[in-house]
Amino acid sequence: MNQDRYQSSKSFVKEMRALAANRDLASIRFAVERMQAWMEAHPDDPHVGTALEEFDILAEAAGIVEGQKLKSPSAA
Amino acid sequence: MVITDEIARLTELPSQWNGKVEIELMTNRAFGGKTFSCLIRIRADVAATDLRWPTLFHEAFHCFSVERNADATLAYIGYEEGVVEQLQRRFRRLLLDRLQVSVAEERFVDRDANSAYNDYIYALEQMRQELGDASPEFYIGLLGTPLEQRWALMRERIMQATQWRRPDLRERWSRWEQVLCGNEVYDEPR
Repeated sequence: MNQDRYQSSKSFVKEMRALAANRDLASIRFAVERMQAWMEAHPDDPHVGTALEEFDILAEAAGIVEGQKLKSPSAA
Repeated sequence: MVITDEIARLTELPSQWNGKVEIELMTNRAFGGKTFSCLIRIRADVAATDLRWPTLFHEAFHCFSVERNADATLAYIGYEEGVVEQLQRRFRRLLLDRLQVSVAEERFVDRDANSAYNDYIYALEQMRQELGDASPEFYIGLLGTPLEQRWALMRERIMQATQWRRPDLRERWSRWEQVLCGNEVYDEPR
């Protein structure tokens, strides 16, 4: 991976981290969709390919946390 | 199974792996992953190359992480991903030897150099050096500490150290914490 490609991937992941900074499910899912679109064009990108793993687990975690909030008595 | 047995021996921690590996066919997905139900996932095209090894080792180390729950994952993502990736790199050669797999280390140079986890590893390495801990013991210790306590554990230890009196260290330490919580990245070139 050359330096230009790396910097481009790093800037993109930085943008996605900022997008998901509030850790809400909708923002993380949107980031995941954008990263999947990136991977369609660059399926061998090691920077976004590893970052997407992180965002997948963040999305799963946010889904669990938001699900717990919906089930809690105070939310009813 | 051989991988998790070997990691159990190295870390002296119990595996939580559910014994299943899912093959992801779509190439626009992450190279690998591990769900909260302890299912390991790997992309089919990655599994067909030597890159399957660092990917599987990384995911296997997640299976030994103590109390990696949803809340802690959202708050302390780098304290998990950085720890397991560094352990993967540290023990990769040993694990390959135990599996009797012959792969040149050069095959992994591009993946290691361009991983999104390098910022986390850099921050953890700076912290480890300030604490004066040995590697890989530092990382094994963190893996065996509940994820939501890793931040506080290290913060308490450094606050008891004499170098904590230095304002520059307090500033840098806070920055490393921000990176490990996924709130900041390093902009400088590698």
